[in-house]
Amino acid sequence: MLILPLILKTKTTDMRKFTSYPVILLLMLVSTGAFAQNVTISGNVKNSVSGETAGAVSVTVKGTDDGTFTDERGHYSINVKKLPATLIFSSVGFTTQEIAVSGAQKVDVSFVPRSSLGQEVVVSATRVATRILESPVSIERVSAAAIASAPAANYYDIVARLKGVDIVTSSLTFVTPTTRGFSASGNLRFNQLVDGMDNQAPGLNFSVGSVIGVTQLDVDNMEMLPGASSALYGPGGMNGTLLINGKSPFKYQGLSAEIKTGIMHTDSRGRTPSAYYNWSMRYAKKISEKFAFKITGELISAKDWIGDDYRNYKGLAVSGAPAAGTRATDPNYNGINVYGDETTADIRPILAGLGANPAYLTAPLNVSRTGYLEKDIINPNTVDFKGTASLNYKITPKIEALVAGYFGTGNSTYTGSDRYSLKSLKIGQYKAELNNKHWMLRAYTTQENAGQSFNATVTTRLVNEAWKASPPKPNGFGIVGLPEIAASWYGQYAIAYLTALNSGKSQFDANTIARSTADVGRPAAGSTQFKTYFDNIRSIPIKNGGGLFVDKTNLYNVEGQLNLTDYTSKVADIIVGGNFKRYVLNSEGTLFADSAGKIGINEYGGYAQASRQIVDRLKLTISGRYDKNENFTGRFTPRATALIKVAENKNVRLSYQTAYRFPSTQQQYIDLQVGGGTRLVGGNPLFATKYNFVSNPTYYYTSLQAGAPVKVTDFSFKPESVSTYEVGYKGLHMNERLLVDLYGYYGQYQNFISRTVIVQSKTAVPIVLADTSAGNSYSIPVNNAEKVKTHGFGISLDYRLPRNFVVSGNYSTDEIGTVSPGFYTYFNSPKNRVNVSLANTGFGKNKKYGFNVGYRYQDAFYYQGDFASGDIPAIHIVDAQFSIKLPQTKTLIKIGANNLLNEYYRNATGNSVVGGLYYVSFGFNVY
Amino acid sequence: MIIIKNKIKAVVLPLVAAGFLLTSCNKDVKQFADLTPATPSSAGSIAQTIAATPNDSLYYRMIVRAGMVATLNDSSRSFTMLITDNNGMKIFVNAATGGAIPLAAPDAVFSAFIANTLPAASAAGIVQYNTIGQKYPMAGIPGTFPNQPYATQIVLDPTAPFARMVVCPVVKAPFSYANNIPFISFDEAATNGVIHHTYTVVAPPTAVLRSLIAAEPTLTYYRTAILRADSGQVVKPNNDSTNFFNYLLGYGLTNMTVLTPNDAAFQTLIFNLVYSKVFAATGNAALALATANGAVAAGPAFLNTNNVSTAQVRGILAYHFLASNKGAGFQPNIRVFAEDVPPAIATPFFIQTLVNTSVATHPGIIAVATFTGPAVTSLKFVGLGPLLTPTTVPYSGAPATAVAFDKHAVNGVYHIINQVLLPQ
Repeated sequence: MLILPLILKTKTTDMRKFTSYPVILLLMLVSTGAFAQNVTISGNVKNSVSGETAGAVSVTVKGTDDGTFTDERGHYSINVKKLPATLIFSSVGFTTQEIAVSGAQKVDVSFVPRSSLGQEVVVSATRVATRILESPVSIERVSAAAIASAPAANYYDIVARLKGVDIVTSSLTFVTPTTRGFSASGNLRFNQLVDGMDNQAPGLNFSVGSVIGVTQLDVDNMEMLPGASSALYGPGGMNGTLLINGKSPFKYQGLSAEIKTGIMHTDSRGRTPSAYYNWSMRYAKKISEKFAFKITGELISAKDWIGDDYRNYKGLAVSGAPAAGTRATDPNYNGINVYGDETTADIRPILAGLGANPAYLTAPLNVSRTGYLEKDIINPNTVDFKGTASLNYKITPKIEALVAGYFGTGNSTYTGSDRYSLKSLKIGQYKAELNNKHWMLRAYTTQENAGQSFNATVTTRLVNEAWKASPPKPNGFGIVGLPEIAASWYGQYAIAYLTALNSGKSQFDANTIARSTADVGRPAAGSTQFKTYFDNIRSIPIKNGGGLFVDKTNLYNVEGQLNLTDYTSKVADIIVGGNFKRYVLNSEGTLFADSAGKIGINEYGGYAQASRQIVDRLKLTISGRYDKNENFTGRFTPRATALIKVAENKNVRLSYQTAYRFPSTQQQYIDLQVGGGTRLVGGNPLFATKYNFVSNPTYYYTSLQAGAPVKVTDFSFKPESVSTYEVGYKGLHMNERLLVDLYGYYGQYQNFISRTVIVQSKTAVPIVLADTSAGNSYSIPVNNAEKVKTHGFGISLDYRLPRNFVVSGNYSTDEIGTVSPGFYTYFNSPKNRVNVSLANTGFGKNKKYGFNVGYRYQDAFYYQGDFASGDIPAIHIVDAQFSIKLPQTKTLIKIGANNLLNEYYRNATGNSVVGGLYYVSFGFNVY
Repeated sequence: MIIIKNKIKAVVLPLVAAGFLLTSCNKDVKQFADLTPATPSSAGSIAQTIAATPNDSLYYRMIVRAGMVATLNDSSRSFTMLITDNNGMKIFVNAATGGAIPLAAPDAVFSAFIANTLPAASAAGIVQYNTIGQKYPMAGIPGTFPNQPYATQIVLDPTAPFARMVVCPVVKAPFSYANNIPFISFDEAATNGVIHHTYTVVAPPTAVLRSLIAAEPTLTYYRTAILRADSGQVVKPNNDSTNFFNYLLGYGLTNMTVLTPNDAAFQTLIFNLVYSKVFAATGNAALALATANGAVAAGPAFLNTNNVSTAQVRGILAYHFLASNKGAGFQPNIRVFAEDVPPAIATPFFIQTLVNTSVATHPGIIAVATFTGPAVTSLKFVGLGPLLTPTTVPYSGAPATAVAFDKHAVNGVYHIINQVLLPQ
């Protein structure tokens, strides 16, 4: 053992060369104690008010880089190389204390809580640590403490309370935030980075932060940058970036656990009352000053919210709208959250073959198959398991290496162009990272496996077909006679319909009789027969005639950053960075046009930022980033910001930011037949060849609808970009009791990407108007020549009342400029949003009681989506929680409610309707 | 402390109250008023309307006899009724009784006959045949040639209840007809439909073409020709026998018009064919005459000899099945009553035939009707036959006259003509 430290000391300088993690791990195991030298100072830190131990308190030796953190028992131990020395004890929410030590002694600290506003430090705004008050761009931060005291069952729900944030709730565990408009379940203009890794599923193109990622007890903080952020974070992030950062095992140690149990569906609107479980744990241990590790896990189990919008939907995709009519009154009813009824056909040809009176055939007689409700086909049990693990090793006191894995699996429901049941979805993110005060290297991969996920619409349509084929199928001789007609669903419908009409029945009765006749023997939802059909079809890949999508797309990314400030500070503080990214699309032909093999897409980019304090009150920062995707020309995105200090703790910020995004992997390569019969294709030129767009021309669907077909001639496809001008202010007022933050912005999008539907003759003959519904229809991504302009502003006020009470409120608004009729921007943002809350993290005896009551409001707005469009009513929600701390056992008992008054709401057409979730939690070491 | 508490109350209570107040009004997505079909009142229904009309009392009596009152009062259904007034009923009864009940008999006699003597099944058949599903005012009935079949309440095949016996009204000037019976008034409104009056009862046919033709004493050659034309045909896949003329004539779900040359017409054709053939071969008129007379003397059996080919017979018969193309190719799918045929006009009125199934551009045959008032007194057809010796005039140049027309069957109508029409 005496030899090993010597060996290690000689090897230490070469450690940074190692890339073999087993070697590092081995060295970590044998190197414990290598720093055990000099004088050791130890002690305990306690909260001066409550008397409870204070964990994760930073303990540093003044004037050095040496430091440590208190463990979960408030205990610390630090080696001091030289005496006398001064120890600095600091933590957000406490008054920083400096204590001089002159010998090896026990130093206990009574740590004084301090209720302060605007003292947090953020990193994401400039990629260097900055006081939030001095951030040159708008930023929102949520700390672990705020998460612990928030009236939210899940930390993702907290994001909804930040100003300027819109949330789209596809299901209980699938929540997608965005800022500055364009919200959607799969939002392509809003980045989510979890511990530095892009959290977007590379093939499915939705961020999976709420499905996998950091577990609730491991969230150290969330930082959200509303607005364009490509200059530092690369393509994407047109409208904002959310960064979720996990806790360091060096800083936060020990076992934390929380058992949360609740109840949902209390009024039996969609389901009978059911339990909600959220169990999470985190264990971190600092083995030595060099090595620490953590493991975390979280399991959510519940009966999911249900999409229960049964209104009739008329029209195609985003251009459609809810309309009058029900299954009983409209033979061509297409319920929004009813699946299988997308199959529709004009029964007149069959009627004509049966000798129907021409009077019955004058107008189209479109009839849809009978569908099944969402609650009947999607497994109600939503389960989400997240697990993370990390091994952290300090190669030197200034260089930390870590390897980490994030794995998530579960069932959820997602809304894209259809509703998708994400079943046994598995996503893993694995990274290796080297961190230094001045540089960072990171490599990570995202491994995606759609598991048994399936398209609910397609699957249910195929269930109908498996039970009884829609069209009369020719017999063995290629003949369609009466027996073949009578064996088909539409044939049976037509026969019964004609019979009823001929007997004098009304159209209404004839359709009712016809449907009940054709549906005789239809598998009842939930029956063994139905389950057999359904389970069989959902397990067959889409390309083989089923509903399963087989997506195993992966992403590989390497990135690094170097802070040159030590060398350039006389001129400017400069950081540079870059990354290389490779997507490997692998859906086996079920989602992408990759039947012939995997598709690789390479991207790379680099950025630089320079900042300088021009004068005492003015700091300028300029940054720029260049990115290149192999399918698109490279793009440069600059950013310039100015921070003007108008007074102490009062700053005005000005910024010009640009952002752009390469089209997503799906927008490039998707090749998917969706429920309504339209084929989604990507913008890659291969599709023009694959579907003969040149030899069999296509025409805009809208032009066909208008009766004046316009041929599609331009299939070029480019990245989208946005330029944003923003002014903001953040400052403390009223003796630092009031934090004011406000912003206003104006943005302009170019080459705005949306989708349009084009139609092609099925028989390669010249297009006719009848092809509007009878032709091959494709939804293709397009760049719109028209510029899209948005603007908005927001303000938040946080006022610290006596006795630890804080009242907060924010208001934000986003609007889009006028666009041409028929141009679907998917802006999807309410004009006005308001959040108000009153909270206290400690009152009463020993400040052990806490509560938080919040009210959320958003305007009604019109939601545009590929699955469905329609009006979203205004939303009013009250969330609340009340908590009791038991310091002796470091436990926190919390009772709370999301949507306290169980006022159901939805925030996107066709998505789940969200009701009240009432819970009680018992947490150990969670605050 | 008290001040603080008061402050807190001042903030919290309004906040919570406001929250509760506002959250109590989350709206669900906009629902649409559903489309509820209006159910007409049963007052003023078809049966009630007819019952309330004295001049329709005899027909109402027949409705009662048919057991159709409830059906025609059903407010959930709608119908178009083709009825006749008391005068029309008397004509019908007079004819049905072979004149046993004279037209001048008291109404009570007619009423008693309908109520007691007319078989209920017959009454039901007539009323059902006069009852069309759905409401069709006269303005909604087309005037296109030849007419528009409408499904009645007579189900032809219980296993295929959509297939019903049809009645074929047509609206045209100066007279409109239901089959071959002229309308005398129309568009009498009822809450569950509309009532049109015809000159007399529009009676349903009772047998298919094959049965009726089989009973015709002057169509022995025709029947033989049918069998000869079908010889050599095979049943198509899926047990499809529609390539057999004999099958077609017996198939109830067709809607055909057949011109049936009588025996004399066939004998004339045979005579001329044989004569011209022998004369052309020998130049001996006497031999040709004798041979031709012999062929005629052979009777219908001649059509089974090798002197004529099956293809020839099949082609000739196809020319006598009127046809139209409704999108699925030429089919024998029109029911042409004499009254549907236009009077002589400057431009010949052609009707396609089954010959068009093989020669799509064939002009068909020319049809001409002669009217006296609403009644047709003469019906003629002209084919495009070739010049044949010894007449040296186009054989079909002389029109074929229908010696009997509007012979109505379940699956069509046939007209007995006195010439065989040749397609070329």
